[in-house]
Amino acid sequence: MNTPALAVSDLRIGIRRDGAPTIDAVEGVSFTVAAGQVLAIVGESGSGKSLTALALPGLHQPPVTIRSGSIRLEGVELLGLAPAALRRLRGSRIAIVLQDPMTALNPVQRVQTHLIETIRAHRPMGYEEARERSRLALARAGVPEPARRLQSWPHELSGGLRQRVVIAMALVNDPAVIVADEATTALDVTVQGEILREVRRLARDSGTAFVWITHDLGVVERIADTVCVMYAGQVVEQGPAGAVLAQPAHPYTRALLDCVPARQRAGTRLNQIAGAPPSAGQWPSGCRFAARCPMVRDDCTRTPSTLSVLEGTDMPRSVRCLHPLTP
Amino acid sequence: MSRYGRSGTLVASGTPGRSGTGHRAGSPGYASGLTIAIVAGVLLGAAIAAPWLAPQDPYDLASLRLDHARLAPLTRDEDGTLHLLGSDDQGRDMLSAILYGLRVSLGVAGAGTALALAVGLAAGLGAAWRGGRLEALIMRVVDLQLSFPTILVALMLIAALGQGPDKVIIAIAVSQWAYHARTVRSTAATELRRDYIAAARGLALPAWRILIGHLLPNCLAPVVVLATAQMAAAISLEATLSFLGLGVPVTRPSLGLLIANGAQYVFAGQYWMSLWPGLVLLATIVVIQHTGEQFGRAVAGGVSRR
Amino acid sequence: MGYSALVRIVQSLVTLLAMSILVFVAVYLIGNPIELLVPPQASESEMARAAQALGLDQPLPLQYLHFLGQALQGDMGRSFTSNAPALTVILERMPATLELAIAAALIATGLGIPLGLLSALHEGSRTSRLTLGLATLGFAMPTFWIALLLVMVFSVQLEWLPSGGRDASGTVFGLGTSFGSWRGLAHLAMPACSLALFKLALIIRVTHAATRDTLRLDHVRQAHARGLSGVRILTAHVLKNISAPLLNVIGLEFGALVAFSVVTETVFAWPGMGRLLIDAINTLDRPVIVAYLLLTVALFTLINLTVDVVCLAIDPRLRQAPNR
Repeated sequence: MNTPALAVSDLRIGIRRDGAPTIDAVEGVSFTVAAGQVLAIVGESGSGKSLTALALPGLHQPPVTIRSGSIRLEGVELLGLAPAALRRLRGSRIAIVLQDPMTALNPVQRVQTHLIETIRAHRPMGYEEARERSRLALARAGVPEPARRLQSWPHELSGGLRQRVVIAMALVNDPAVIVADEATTALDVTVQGEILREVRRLARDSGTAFVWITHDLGVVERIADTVCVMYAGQVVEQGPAGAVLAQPAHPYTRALLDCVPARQRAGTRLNQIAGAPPSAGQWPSGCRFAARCPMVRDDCTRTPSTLSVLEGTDMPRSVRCLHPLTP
Repeated sequence: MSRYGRSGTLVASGTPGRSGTGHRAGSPGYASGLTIAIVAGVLLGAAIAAPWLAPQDPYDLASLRLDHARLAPLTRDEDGTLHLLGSDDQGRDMLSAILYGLRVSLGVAGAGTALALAVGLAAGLGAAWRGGRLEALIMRVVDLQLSFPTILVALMLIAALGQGPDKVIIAIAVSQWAYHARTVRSTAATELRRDYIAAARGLALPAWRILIGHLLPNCLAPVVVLATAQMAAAISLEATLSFLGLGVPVTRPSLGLLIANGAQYVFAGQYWMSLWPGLVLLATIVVIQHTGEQFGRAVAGGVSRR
Repeated sequence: MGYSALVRIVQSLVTLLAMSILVFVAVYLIGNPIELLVPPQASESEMARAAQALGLDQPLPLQYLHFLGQALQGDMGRSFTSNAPALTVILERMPATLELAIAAALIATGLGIPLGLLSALHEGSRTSRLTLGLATLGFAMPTFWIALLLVMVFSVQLEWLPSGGRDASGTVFGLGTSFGSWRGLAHLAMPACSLALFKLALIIRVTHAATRDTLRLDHVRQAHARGLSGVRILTAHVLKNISAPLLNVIGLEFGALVAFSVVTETVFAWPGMGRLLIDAINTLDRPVIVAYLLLTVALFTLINLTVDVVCLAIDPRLRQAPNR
């Protein structure tokens, strides 16, 4: 397939508070995800990753606005699409899984209602057929005893099961892209592991493209083919997950990796990045990470850094740093 | 009886604009807030200064002349006294009657609300502090009472106790204490789990000092909000009872009774005897409700900052 | 579900019993009716005889048990003033009151729920703010004053509607009711509207607040993410969620409408049981007061029970724990 499942280029998201001028919260985000691939977007809270996730299926709400850029879903431009046309794509070609499984399901509707209505919102289908399709979706999402679970009420399910139901809702119409915003953050580590395995299998078997938003590099390592590291509203580094994690080129990626406990020698003090990221509207004029960067040089605070292709690697990687780390 | 808040709580959470941002100078919210404050000041001032403001003492039966009865607004009687708002069927000057009536309304409603507040505080704090069976009993009674409309509880009490301002005060207190008790108990139950109570207990302070000195002050904010809303309800309740002839005596009419007195003449097109006291009553209730909502917003803001 | 419903039914019966004791004791405290019934110059023995005849010489608990036994057989004593059976006196007047309350409830919910919904869906718009502002005003207006204002405008000034009375000459399913004829409806219009206004305001505010809070929930966002139509989201993911709390309010407020009709009936000379209660209180007609209160209490308990059971059917979470 030549057309990528999702192609985002130069996305700029603003926040407009009444009276105040629009603030750019996210800028210059570009990536593509091919069918069956998993792209991870990683960053701290406030980096703009969740704004990006919600903007992809057009679920952002005022005061958040998309100011410019392009989001192409299977070649179709989503920005500027009529609301009705966008609605027909949502849930059928692009689906989203939100962070908190405890609140994503309507407490007064059964599991099957959620699934069946999602199917029938997009194609005419008889109730029984839709119900059978729902049961299959639950099974694909790894829900045990799917036939019985169709009848369940949300409050009867554990957090992990609910998130599997939400994932089943996302894949029930075989979308091209599933966006997951911190979808496993609220879950136990073991449950998280199972779900991540499930996602990898889904990507491989059904050819679904995933955009997986997380703050956890451990998650990236386990599921991602490619990764985007975001900091202060910008992509600071992107490339194949294995290469970026093994040899980070941006000091921020390196610092993030140093914070993962499993990667440190036993007995050493746990690293953390000193200081706090700048908030939207108060971006510094030079490199946005300069204030916290352990390798900061004089020109970093003056010259804005640009995302450029990293030379000397055999894979397409880019980094936003005036003095990238070299292997 | 039910796990959803009955209308009491829902109304409180239904205050419009709670989610709204604070009023800024120049915004319509600010202007209406200013208007409300001015009206509140005028009403309160009028009630307090009634004896000096009123052209006539409506309680002085000797000064009432039946030949001056039912004069239209802005007419002068034979003695040359101007009746700005007209006069009622007893020959009382409406303006004077309203000024004094406002006093009665505010006084009776205020006393009733205060009594309800005191009883509700005691019951709610007691329930939260002692817990166990006492709490279960009190809350059961509260639930039971809240499932019946206040007007019915009040009518039942008036039926049992008879009429008069003191009976109305009791009726207001009895029909409202349960709202306070419920709010106080839930607030106190939350506060009791906080560290400062544990600290006070650790110091082996006597129970009454923890209750009065530590617990009570921290439960007051939501109660003040509720009490304001209940004050508006109390004014309406008193007016309703008086309108039905079950409230204050005819010699010392409240706003509600003034409206009732004028009601029969409405059919003859002599609107003023009911209209003016009704407008004052409405203004009073709106002002108090609005103040309550402002308190509520301030308290909600305070909680979210904590 | 069955168990929870059973618990509610038992609770309701206990409530009813407790209220019957309360009502009886409270009403017993009313001044001595003998003084009103016998001539002022009556001797002590005459008064004692009168008391005996009415069973007022017995100790209170005995009087209550006797009363309860009789009440369960539908006998609530005879009116002290008219000597007719108290229950009959009340039941004769009940249809008029229920008719008024039902009409008011239809107005309040029929207008209140759509208006509350719309004001929440278009939060912040001019119409939304206007609706909520009017609701706030309606919330502050005492029922009786609204009634008088309506009379001033529609009866005295415009002379469109009759200022009082009830016309039940028209029939629906063979029952004489105001709904049966245009004249009946004309008589019903103002009483029902004035009674409805406060509840209308309340229902607008409650619906608005509940809808607004529900619209913010994650599951609604998730429903948008699944590409559901606006109508489907509104009915399946907003309306169904707010219906249980809303029903609670409506149920309770229907009871309040019956109680508040006392006021409306007074203004519009509506021949319902509320007006009867006021007369009974003024004449210390104890059996009528007790019968009225017990009937209304029974009505409320029945409404509350129905609402609770319907809510159990709507909201599965309520079925979990048997209590609290």
